[in-house]
Amino acid sequence: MIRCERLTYSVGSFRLKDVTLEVADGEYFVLLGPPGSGKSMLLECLCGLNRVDSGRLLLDGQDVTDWEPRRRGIGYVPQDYALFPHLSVRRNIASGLVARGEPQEEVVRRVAEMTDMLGIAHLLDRRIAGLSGGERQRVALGRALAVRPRVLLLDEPVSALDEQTRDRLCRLLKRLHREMRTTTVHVCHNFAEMLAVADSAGVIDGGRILQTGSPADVFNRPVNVRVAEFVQAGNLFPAEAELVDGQVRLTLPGGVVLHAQVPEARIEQRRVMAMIRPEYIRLCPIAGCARNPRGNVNTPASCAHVATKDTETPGGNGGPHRGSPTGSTLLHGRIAEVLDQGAIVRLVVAVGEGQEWSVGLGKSECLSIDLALGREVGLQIDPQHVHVLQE
Amino acid sequence: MTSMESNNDSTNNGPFHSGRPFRGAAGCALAAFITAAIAAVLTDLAEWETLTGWLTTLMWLSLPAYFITAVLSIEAEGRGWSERVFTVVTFMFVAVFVTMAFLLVIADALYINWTAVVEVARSPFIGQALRLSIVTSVITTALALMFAIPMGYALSRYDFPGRTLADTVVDIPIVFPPLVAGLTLLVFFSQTGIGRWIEEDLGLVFVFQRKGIVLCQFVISASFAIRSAKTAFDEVDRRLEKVALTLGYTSWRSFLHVSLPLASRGVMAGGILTWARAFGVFGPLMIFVGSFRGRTEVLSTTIFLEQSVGNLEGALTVALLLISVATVALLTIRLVGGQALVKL
Repeated sequence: MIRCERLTYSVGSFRLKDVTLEVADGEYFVLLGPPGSGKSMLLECLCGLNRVDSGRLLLDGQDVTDWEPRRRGIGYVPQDYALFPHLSVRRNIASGLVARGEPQEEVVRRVAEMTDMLGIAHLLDRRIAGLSGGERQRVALGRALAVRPRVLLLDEPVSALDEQTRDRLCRLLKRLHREMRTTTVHVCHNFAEMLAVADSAGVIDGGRILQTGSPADVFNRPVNVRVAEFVQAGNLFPAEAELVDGQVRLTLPGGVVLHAQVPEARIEQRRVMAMIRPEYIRLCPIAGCARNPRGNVNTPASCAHVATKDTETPGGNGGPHRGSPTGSTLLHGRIAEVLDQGAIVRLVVAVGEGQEWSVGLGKSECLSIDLALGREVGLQIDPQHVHVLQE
Repeated sequence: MTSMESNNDSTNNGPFHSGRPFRGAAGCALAAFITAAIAAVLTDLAEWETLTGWLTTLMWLSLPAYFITAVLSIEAEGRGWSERVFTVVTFMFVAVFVTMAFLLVIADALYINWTAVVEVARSPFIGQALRLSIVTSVITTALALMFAIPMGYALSRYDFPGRTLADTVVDIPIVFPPLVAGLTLLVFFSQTGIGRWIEEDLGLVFVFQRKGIVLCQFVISASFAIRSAKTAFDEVDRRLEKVALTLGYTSWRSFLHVSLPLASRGVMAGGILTWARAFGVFGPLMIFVGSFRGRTEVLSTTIFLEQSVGNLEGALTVALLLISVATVALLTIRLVGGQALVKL
């Protein structure tokens, strides 16, 4: 278990401020942060390479704040791995064990165990210079894990790799974690990587932890605009919030009205930000939906899934009874941009005057829809997918 | 004609052929030049004048042959005339400089005669001077490295007040006129309290002693080792040391097993420079330790002694001895040390 209590560390004008963090035993924690957010610095503080100014660091309940790095039992894989270029793969992996004075046969046994687990037995006598990025990464993991650390710290472990290798290594990290149950802190700037490997996650920026929670929480329910932008929330609009019959009613610029299911209905301010992830917006052919003059269309919830069925919505001409407590919102706009991103297709839909909505579509969904530029479409937004942020 | 065309097609080098065939030719020309030069010097010593004449002619012919084939053997990046001219211009400076250095050495070599060589070889004093030169310069190099390795590391890694000043002070002996270094040492030991304390109370006498040779050489040349070591440690990725610490290394172990091996090349290069400078140092020695036959005489001061009594042949013979010892040592260390480490 790792526990940081109000860790503060500064170098130059940059400061880690009151970092409080807890990673449970055997948990895989991913800390997301943009470049220069202090995430690598935090890892170095956890390693003991940086002496913190104040605060406490506990490993398994032990206060290790003033311990030397080598006594902490930490496995550290820095960015670009920092393998020893003058040693062979074998001696790289053995280096920690040798430094700890393990007997020769134990060193041999552990190195063999690690290399089997990582599938790098054939590389043992190679020099580092000839290895590929993925191979180096495995060797670095082997070197860090060979000493059976209490905690594994990974600094951008897969960022420097190509897409395919990255994917393979994420799976490897996940498998290693299942097998060894080493408490892991993995730092990166890619939320897809976080979703792939994390048990729990956090976001750091400007030296502060902005949010911690489950990966889905961070991804779907960011606490503020910075986190939302960082996880590419897509649709983020300022809104006026009011409470109507226990439900939150949001009025966006241009008169668009959304409903949100905010747990505890906790809206402290009137001015908030509304966030709707592009993947949760459904696309409806406009034919089935009545629209009102403001481009704000409201239908009974039956519009669901018409995007793929492409059928007439029965009774889809609900009058302008906007703000019905349980109703989804249907917006009307024109396709302004179609961006094929490989796995998904992202549409930019212009709604009303200059408001741009981003919609993510699966490839199979696209097959049945005509995505011509300028085509009129309806966007259906369900209340459970509307997230409210304090501004 | 057909073979020419096929050659052009296969290399696709525009108006130029691949440089590869010229590599062998350049190697042959260089070998011919060096052989002819050495042979000419030897025949000159033996006073076979006709043969010397032929050999010098061969030497002067093979030198331009070498330069022409060498420049053709360089694989230019581009394929047009402009790139080729660029290559030729840059290479021309190499050619001029190297020729000049060779010319100077050969001029020395052709001046000396057999009698002078025999005289120098038989002189017990010159043998002793050679040994003293080698021993003192090796001791100086060892001492310089002893300082350079920790100093280079400290200057590279630690941020302390006055670091820039310390860094600059390290370079001062490099720009110091060597003669001034000797004067300064003399003044230090005769005119200052600390200097007198070292000489009188500690009994460590340097002035006009062999110990003084090492001291002079150290003052003049240690900067090269320190500077190189600092640069070498600068180039060692600090993350390697950080990882080593998390793996259970102590700072000592991380230094000895990670930083030092990775910096070894640069440290060694600094050692070579230091040794070469120490081996040839002259000015401060004349002032600080003098040049007493059989006691404090080293090769560089021998040259001065010989020429000051009008024995120019003797002086040049010793000079050639100095140059050859230094060249052989530099070449050996470069060839052996150059492969010591495969860089990542």
